[in-house]
Amino acid sequence: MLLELTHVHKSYASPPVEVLRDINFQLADGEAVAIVGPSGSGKSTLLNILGALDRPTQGTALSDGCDLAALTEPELAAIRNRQIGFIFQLHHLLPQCTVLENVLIPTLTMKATPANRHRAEHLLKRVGLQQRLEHRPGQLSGGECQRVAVARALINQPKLLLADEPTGALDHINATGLGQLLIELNKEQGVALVVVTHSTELASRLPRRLELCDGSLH
Amino acid sequence: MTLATFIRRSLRFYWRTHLGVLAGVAVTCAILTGALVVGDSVRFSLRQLALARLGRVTHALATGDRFFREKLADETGTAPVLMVRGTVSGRANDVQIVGVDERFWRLGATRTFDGFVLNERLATQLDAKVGDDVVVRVEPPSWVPRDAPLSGKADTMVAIRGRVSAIAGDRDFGRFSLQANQVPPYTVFIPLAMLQKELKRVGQVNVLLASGNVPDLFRLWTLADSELVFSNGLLSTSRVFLDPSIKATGAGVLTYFANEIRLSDKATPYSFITAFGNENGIAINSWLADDLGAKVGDELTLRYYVIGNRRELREESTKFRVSRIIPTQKDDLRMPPFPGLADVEDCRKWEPGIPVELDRIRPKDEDYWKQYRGTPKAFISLAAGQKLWSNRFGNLTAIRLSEPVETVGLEPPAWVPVREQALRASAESQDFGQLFIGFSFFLIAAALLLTAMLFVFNLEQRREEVGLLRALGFGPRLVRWLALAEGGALALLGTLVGAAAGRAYTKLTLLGLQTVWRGAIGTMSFQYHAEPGRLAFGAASSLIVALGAMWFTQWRQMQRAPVELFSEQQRTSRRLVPTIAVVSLLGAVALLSMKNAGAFFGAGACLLVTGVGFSDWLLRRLESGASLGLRNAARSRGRSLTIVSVLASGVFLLVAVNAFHQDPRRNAPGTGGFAWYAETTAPLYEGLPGAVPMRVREGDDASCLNLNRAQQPRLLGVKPEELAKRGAFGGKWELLEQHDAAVPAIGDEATVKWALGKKLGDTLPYTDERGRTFQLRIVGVLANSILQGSLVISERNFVQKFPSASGFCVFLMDTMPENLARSLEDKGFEAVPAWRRLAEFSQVENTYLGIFQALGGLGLLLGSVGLAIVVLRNVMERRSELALLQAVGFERRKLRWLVLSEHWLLVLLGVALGVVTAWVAVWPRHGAGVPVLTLALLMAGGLFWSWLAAWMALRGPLLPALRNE
Repeated sequence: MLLELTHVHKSYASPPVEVLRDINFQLADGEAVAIVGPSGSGKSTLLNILGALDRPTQGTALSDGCDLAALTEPELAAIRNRQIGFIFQLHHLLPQCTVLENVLIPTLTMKATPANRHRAEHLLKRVGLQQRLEHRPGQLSGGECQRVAVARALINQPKLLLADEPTGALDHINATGLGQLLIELNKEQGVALVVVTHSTELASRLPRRLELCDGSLH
Repeated sequence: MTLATFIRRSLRFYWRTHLGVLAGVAVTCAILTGALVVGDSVRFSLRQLALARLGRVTHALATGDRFFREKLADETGTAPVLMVRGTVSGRANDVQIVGVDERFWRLGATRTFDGFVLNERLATQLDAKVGDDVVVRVEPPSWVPRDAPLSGKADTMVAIRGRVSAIAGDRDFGRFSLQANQVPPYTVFIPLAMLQKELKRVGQVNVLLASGNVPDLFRLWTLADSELVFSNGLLSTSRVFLDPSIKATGAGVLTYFANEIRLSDKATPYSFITAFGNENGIAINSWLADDLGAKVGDELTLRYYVIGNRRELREESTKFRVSRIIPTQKDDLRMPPFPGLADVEDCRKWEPGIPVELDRIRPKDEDYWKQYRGTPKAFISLAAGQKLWSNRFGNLTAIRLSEPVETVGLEPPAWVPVREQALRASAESQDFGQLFIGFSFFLIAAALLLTAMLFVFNLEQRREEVGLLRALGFGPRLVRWLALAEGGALALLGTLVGAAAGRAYTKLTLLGLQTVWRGAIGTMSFQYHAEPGRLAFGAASSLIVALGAMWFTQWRQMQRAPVELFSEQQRTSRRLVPTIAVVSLLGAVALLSMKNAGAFFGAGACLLVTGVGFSDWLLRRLESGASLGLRNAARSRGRSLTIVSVLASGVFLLVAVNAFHQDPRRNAPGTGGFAWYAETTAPLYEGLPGAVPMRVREGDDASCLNLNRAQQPRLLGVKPEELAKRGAFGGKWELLEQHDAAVPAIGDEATVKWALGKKLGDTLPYTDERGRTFQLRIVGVLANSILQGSLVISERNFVQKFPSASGFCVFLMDTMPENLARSLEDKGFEAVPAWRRLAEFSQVENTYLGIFQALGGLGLLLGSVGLAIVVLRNVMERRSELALLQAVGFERRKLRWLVLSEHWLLVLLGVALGVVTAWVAVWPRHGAGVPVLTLALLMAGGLFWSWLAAWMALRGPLLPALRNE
């Protein structure tokens, strides 16, 4: 199993609030799942735990059978870097870097190789931005930026792609296009996909759909 | 794409924000390196001055009141000099009168001079030019110390007239002096032969100047160089009393002058008596026996004068029984060369320096003088004579040698390595580098705070970037490394810019020291000089400090989880700040109870921390319930507290330092209760009525006016009881009489601590009149007194160490008798009101405080720049918020007030905090009051900057900001 959450709880002390309650969730290699739910239901928190950005208060989170709670911060960082790709609601592209360089950012933790650049160019071509390699984020549209973010998430060939409201900041056409891209990449690259979204349209296009309500996953 | 590329891209993209950080680091580096180079420049300039005053002279042999053969210079290949002190044309006192020949000029001038040559300082003082006539007045050096009994007529001055032939500048040895001081003495150079003739010292000098290796004097030093005479088996001296240090084997002789030898109603006036051998009673010659009608067994009464330490004449008498009568034969060899006696043909012209009633001299006495000269009329045993007439100058007038004269042990004075001493004095001089780092401390701290704040802004601006990198799997260490590498590149660049700007800062500071801050150093010009090592040290220190500040702020950010960095949450400890504030308050209370200057700064710092803690508490309170503007001040508490801290620290310095300004009044304790302080160039042997006189051993000026480290400070000898009975200066004067292997000394705090680098209980090597080293022990320290510049020892110890130094040159007086100054004009008498002398010293301290305040003010300027940046930053960050307020009906004027009320609160809080903490720290020392005008200007500046920044940020349409949201 690629990812497995068992009886996961997450709460915050100040102010005291329990965001996630007894979450049990499993994800197989190459699987695609949509998590929907109203605002404040804990979707992002769940995604952060899935992405080793946060730790559960109770319960276990296993990634490829490895207990994330037992890992140090550098080990977690390595998992995030090699095994997980993130796509956020806002693209968070670095304005000082070109499109190609933004895609290559996750490779900076490793030795630079020509293969990385080839893969980045290939990914950008795949997302339809082969003409924009040397452009800056400020010169792109919102949809294009988000596609760069998708390419960046895939640069290290992760097993898992986590997308937090990936279409939330896009217009309908761009949102539809990006949703389609994610589904295609899931199939093409064999990467597991978890999408947290408000968009019922996007959710309905994924094979598995879960709903998070009041901290519980159904 | 590599990490280096990424750093390069970031540096280029964020250049505007980086510029602020770079400027902050550059300012820090400029101040730090600038301050260090100020130290280098002062040291270098002092070294240059030291070399200018000594030319190529490396060693000097200076014997003061003792004179030796000029020929010794020929034998040793050195330059002979005759040096005395005097006055010139009644307008310059304490002038160094130097008799020189071409050998002197060759040691330091570009050419040789003849005739009267003035140095530039003296020429300026006299307003004299080449061709003008000048009159040099000098007391001719006495053959016999003036305090010695029978030293001849005192208080005679010689006037030497001459025409100025040249004025010698620094390049022409005009700065020549054997004392370490950046201010050259007044000097007039006179042809050696002329000065020798005028002072009746033909063929004699008292200084030799050597360049390079110095010859061994033991081989060349003769009896004449020790002022000894060997004749007819008798070793005697032109100084009358043989120095006790002379090592010669033989029978001692002590000849003295008796006022009267009496047998009942018959008396013989003014006779010499010799103490020699083991005579039991008194042996008289037949002439005296006849005159008195005395016979063996008769009891004679001898009356004679003895002179106390201060030339008090006391006539004493002793009885002796006649043991035998010897034939009268001319034998005046034993008569010492008493001035005014030995060289006088007619005894009616005697001037022995004691009262002589010439009308008591009978014709038969005159006949005796003509026939037998100073042949003693009576003889007593040496032991009896020494009991009566021993004094500090010696207890023998001659020795009848029982060995060849060649075996007499002569101790030539030692060569003094003046060049080495001078270089040491300049190298160990007041460290202006450290001083200016101290003065610039606040400025450096303000620049660093500004750097850190701008760096934090930079980090805040890129908080999401850090969050992203961490989400993408960059470990904390790599993220920190990236930020520090970027910051390091900035810091390095800033350091390089700062090191270059430091040159300007140094030059500006040196200019300040030569102009507006001249009170600290007197008249001196500085040359810019930077030691590469120190420059590198300053730059490296700035780099490390800047990197440290960056590391700290970065470290704080890395304490937050990656997900937090995507939001604007703030984390501050609610308990840490109050705890620190309370601990600081307790620390301040403890330090304030110590009541010393060092504790003041500690207490001030603690109080400021407490005040910042209080501000934190206040801002927290404002988070709810206050008006919108005030509530905003609490939103970015870190920034708000930074501004409050910088302003409060600056105001604290201004107010507190102002309280330390000295403004001596007439009754200031530092005057010792005396109204006048007077000095004379030539000593006064009898003192002055109603004054406390002090003996003076010239040495280095050890006051705060001399930047060099004093090697041999000027010594003052005083009777401790004269000061103790008045409770003068609050000193424990009785300590000067305590018995110790070292000579007890008391000095002014500035002299002991700064000029000598010593503390209570420390010892200091000193050289006595005979060239032997003894130790001075600091047994007392006076606070801010008119005795600054010298060390005070007891008169008893003084005359023991410097028996030849006669008379007094310093006087502490209660009143200034009319016409006193005029009557003592020839002696170079100069008096200043004691409080004014104190004020002159205080002026130095006040100037340093002024520098401190000026640099503190610059720090405040940086603080207000920081304030303006914060205002701009706050407003820019909240433009959408302000746009929203405008959208819901707030007028632009109201928005401006909203912004201003927030930041003016910070200005007021900072100023109030600074004033209150300063007042508490320096309580009750508020003599100089609060610098109201400065504070008002400061506050106005702060308010203006806030207004300007708010105006700039709020101009233009706001509503687009809302759309961007």
